[in-house]
Amino acid sequence: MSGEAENREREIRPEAAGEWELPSTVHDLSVPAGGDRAYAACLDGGIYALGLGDGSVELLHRHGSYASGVHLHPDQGLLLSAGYDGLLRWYELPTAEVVREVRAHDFWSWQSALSPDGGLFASVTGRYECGGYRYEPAPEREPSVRVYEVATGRLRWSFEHVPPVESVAFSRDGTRLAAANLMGEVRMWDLVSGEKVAEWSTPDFTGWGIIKGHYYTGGVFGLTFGPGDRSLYLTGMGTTRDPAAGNGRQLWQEYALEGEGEEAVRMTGQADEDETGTGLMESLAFHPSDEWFVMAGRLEAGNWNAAAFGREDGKLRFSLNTQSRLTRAVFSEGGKALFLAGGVSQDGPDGEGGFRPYGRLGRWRWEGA
Amino acid sequence: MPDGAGVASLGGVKRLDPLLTAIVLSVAWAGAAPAAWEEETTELWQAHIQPLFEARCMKCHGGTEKEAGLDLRTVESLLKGGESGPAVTPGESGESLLMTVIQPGSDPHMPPKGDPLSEQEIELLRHWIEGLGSGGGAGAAGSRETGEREPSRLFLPAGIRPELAIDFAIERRWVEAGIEPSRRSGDGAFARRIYLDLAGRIPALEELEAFERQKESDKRERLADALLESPEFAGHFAEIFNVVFLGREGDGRRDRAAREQEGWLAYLRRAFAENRSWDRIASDLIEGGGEEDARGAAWYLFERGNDHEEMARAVAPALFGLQVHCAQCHDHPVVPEIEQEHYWGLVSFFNRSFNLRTPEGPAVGEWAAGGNVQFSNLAGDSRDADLVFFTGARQPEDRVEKENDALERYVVAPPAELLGNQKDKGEETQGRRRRRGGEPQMDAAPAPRFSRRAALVQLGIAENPGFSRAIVNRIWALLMGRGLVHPVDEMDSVHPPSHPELLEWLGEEFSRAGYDLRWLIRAITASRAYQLDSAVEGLRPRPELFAAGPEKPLSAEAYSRSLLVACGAEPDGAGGLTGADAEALRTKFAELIPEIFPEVFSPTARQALYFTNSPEIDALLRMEGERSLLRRIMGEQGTEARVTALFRRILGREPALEEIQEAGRYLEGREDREEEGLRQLAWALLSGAEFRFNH
Amino acid sequence: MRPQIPSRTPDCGDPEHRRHRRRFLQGLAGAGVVSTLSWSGLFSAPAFADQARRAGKRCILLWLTGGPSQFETWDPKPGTETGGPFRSIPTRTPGVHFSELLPRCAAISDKLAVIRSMRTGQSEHFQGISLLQRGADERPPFTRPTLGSVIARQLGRLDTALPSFVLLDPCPEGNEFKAFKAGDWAGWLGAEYAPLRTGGEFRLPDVDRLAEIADADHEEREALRAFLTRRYAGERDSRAARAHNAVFERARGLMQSAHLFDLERLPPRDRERYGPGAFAQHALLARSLVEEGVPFVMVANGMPWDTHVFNHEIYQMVVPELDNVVYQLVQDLEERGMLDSTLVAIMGEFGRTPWINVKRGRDHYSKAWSLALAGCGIRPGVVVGETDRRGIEVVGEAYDEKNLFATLFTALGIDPHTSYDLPDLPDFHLVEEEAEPIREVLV
Repeated sequence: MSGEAENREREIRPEAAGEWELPSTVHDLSVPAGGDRAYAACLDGGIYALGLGDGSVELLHRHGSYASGVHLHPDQGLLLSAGYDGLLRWYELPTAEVVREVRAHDFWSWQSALSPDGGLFASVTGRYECGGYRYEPAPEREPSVRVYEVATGRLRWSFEHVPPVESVAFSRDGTRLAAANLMGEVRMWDLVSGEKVAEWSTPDFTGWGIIKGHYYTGGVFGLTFGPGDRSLYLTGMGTTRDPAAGNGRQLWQEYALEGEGEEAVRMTGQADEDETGTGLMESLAFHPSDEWFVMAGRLEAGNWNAAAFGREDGKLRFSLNTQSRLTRAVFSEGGKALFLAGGVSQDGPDGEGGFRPYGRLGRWRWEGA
Repeated sequence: MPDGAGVASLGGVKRLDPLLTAIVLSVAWAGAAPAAWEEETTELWQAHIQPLFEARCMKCHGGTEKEAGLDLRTVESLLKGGESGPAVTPGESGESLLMTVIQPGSDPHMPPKGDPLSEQEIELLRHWIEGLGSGGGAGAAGSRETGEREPSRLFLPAGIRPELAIDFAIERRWVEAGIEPSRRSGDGAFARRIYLDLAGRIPALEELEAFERQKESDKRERLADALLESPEFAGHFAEIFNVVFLGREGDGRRDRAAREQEGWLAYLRRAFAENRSWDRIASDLIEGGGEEDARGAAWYLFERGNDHEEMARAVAPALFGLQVHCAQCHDHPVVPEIEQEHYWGLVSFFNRSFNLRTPEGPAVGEWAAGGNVQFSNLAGDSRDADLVFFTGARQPEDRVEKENDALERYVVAPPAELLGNQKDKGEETQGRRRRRGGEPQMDAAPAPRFSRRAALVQLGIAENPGFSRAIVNRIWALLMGRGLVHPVDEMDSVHPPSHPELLEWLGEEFSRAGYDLRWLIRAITASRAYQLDSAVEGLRPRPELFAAGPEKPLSAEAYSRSLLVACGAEPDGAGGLTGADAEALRTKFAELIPEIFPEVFSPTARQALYFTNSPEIDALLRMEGERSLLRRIMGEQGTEARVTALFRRILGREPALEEIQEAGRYLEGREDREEEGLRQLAWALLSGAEFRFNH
Repeated sequence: MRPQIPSRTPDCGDPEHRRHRRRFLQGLAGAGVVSTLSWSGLFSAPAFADQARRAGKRCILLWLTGGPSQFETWDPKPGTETGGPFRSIPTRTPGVHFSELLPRCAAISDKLAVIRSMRTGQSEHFQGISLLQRGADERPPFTRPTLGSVIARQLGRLDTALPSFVLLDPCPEGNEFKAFKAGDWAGWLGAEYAPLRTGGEFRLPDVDRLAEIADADHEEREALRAFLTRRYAGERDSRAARAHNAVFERARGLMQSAHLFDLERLPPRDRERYGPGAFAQHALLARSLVEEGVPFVMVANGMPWDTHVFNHEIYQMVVPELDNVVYQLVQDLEERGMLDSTLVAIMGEFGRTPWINVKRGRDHYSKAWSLALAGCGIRPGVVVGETDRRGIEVVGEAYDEKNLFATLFTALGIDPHTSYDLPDLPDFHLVEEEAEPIREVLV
């Protein structure tokens, strides 16, 4: 990080520009160009189409367990989803008819990703099972990373990892895939050759419980490649003695991918301790200009749960507190708006015995863009 | 007989100096005795109402949350009420909102979760609200603040000997409670007690006999004086306050060797050896010992590795007798006067501080800018932390951001290139944890013209009477086995003192005496309560009456040193023991018995196993040399003389007849190996409760 | 009307009850009060207990500290708003489903009894642990003994060096459970019925007698030590000194039975079968200790079930471990012919909320929760009680801690309504208010 870039960047002052409720926490969000609707994968298993103009919520389909991923294909005619039922689904738009279903895993699809050209659909899985006296994760029982061809539904690659694998991302040029797990272990593969091209580990996103339970919690919950695919950004919760309290630091780390030999991968930046509180961070998103990136999640203690950082110096530029858990930060095409999706607590039943809607989506006008 | 009943019964008489007694007995209590209704209402509040609120209501209406604006922690806040008006109307239970919402079937109903209050609880509340009204008007105001009695004051003649003031306050409570205190302890018991308290070991037999032989009527006071002057006193108190200030060594970060090398333990020994005044010690610790004679004191903050919250959490109990960690995220849930801003205020006094190294050793410097923190409560509302102390005193300050730092702001300036860029250069930036090691090197610790830590010394020490009371209470607890406020680090409105007027008086007199710890220790050890025998007739009286000699488990240090002395190691006059590796045994004992002021004695099977089977303990009993225990015992002629000598050397007393008989039975079958028999008899004495406690 | 004001300082000689109550309420009770009232004939109906002793009855408590979620264990509600991400699976018992995380328990459901209608009144850990360990609300200044202490007293043998109550907990921490562990387990029964705590880092050194000291010397010097201490304690009415004696007594028993606590001693094949985790290994140790004759063994592991954060992410790991442990334990006991005389209880201090909080977690819930029992005196293959569609309320009759304790005691052949014979203390019973056992789960 260079310190000389200060003040060269434009000031940003996002303003709230819309808020929507969904029946349950949003786990993933896809916003087509045009900006009049959004697709959400939710905790109740539903894949929803949300009309941003009229606030209409249409249930397109339901997974047999939590829905974890939703991706609009670049050609806009196809929607893909993933769920904790281990299924991947293809829907034809606008009818939302299921045209293909693939059982990708015996366990959850923790996270899924669509390659930038829409050609590949990747999903990661893995159950945390006791593998040792201190509850080290046991080796995988099924391939933790699977990559399918969108056009045919054919399995293109199966990659090995240590479960549970919690996050996955394609490189911007679509040639590489990165996936990271509970233990902070990152693996990266070449999607042409199927070779593993990098593997490293960071202890900073996982915690072994000392206070409550002797096991590991946390992990890398979000991954994204930086400009030019020269770096990979990780997010999650910093390590803590009491991970079950959810009070690790709000943390991102940047790893340069360009070096040689021992230097092949090295950490080149991370969130400044003075600018962060605590809580689980789940999502990272770059502004299309690559001038900033946004980290979002849940606040345990501190002042914000979504913040924009300057790419050059990693310094905090803007932050806000949505008073909710954020699972996904997504910029609109062109970067004029930031969508922050997630949810609030489900809470006990209301007066009529039902549960309040607890999914949330917010839109923020991105000034300075 | 050195420990005869005759001496003991004379004890009370001897002290009745007619003139002083007349003066003491004629002093009046300030504030008339509280009316009966007030007493009962107050007692109800303390014993039942406050605990009931705490259990069922304060989660939502206390320090953590104040739903509907209602805070049930104090009578005052109850009367003030919340958004719906006062919670209670004194004397008018029927008019009181509180009574309405707790009735079965009411809507809304309180508490909203869990079982409704029982009929008895509702009746108690009704009775208490009725009682609140019977005094009426301003008369009840004082008691409403916290539900406690207005502290009485002790008016005594100027210059009265403090031990007589103590006797007066303590004895008065015995009379009220209608109990007889224990008899006065014998000389042997007293000597063992005060050696353990002040020298951190039992007296050697020769020291004990010398004391018993003395005839002077003031020999107990003289023994206290002599011990206070000894290097052993300094060493013993250094060990105690090492634990009070920094906690036991262990857990990786707390390293005994570092405390020794960096001058911390030497500082403590020096401070107690020269009888440095307590306010001076406290300011040395906070200001970081910039002065040459306070070298080593900086380790107090330095060991915390730039963790400013830990500094605040440590200073509060050690110097002010308060626990603040409950107020980190919200106002204290139970103690109304400890607010969240006090926690963050205390943190702010420290958060411009940073570790560095100078050629003289570790130091804690202070920036002139930055350290402006915001804190937010559970509702998410944020505010700036002021420099505010528990007393409510605020230190005004211009909030200088670190970008605006400047050399003019310093008395001792930091290297210019570090200004405004403190964190990056001044601390470790890789690996998020703030560990010790890698501190910047500077010629001297930077000191700003306005120092927040100096401001804390002013507000918390110079202008805060609670500072004096906190150490009075701690020393009292150390000597008497229990504080006037119990526990010693919760001197808040929820833990009222047993003798408020005595605590107040001693606090004032202690500060008037120049914060002289020896003055305080002399006063307490000369008091009648300290010198009572620990044996009781029947049930033990309530501990807060101090009506029987205290029984205190020995600290690891005192226990291990006493073992060595009993087994033949000899005090070398310079604070050490000859012929033994005292430090090795101390380390082992500190691991087994980490606590210094246990609230409740809780022994472990682990300790018993160590005593029973470890080679270390066995080796003590097999020490060689002329002066070793067994050699000396074998020097006596005849079984009874040998048994008696064992009791004298280990317990400082003669054995009783049945003890001689039991010991004799043990030795009987072992004529062929009498020395081994006596060795195991010694073990039985050393591992018994009588040796384990200071009593 | 003037209400009856409870006496503030009853004649128990302990005026500190307010403080203890306060610390109790704050969940901070680090007070290791070792009460030392104890004498023979403590129970007024000793004949009944003798009967049980003769039958060699035992109890293993798998203590799921923190409050296990009923939804991810015994009372799944898949497909509802509260069900969470896991499915349910059918069991061997027709019509009964468990969470998919319990496949092995499903296969032996005909040997388990599940209670789905627990409703208790404490939903904070310290108070909840106390409630479900003691079977009654606190009544300061009196400290009721825990389940293990009562069973140790009732089923323990005097003629053995074995401890009668063993707490295996390899995790030294556990928040409020840590505070509870440091407190007074044995209450008015006295320190000799407090648990021996071992496991994990707590393996005891110095358990071997020194070669230099002859056996007889060793025994007799200890008797002399105890005599001298009793004399001292009597003169001073010293609870502390009595506690000091009790730990030496404890140490004596430990020396004779220390080898039994060594995990390394257990057969490797068994260790593999139970699974590698610390909880599983200590559950195996529990089996071996009851085989040796220890009447009460409690297995815990810190507070792993308290999942305010990452409920499902943690339960995907800890529930399958429990599943296998219960399966192996019940099968082993049965194979050894011990299941009829060994009661296994699988429970925590409460359940977890139906609704999911914003931290991916479930919070404390005591209104409707589940637990499971097996073995001695328990009717196998029953499910008692039910909750509504979303698991928010108990449907029909609910049971509380008193019913549960009455059930456990009855299953072990102990009359739950026996009164303690405690001079100067109020009239206390093993279970108060004549609470009825849950008949449906009893043989």
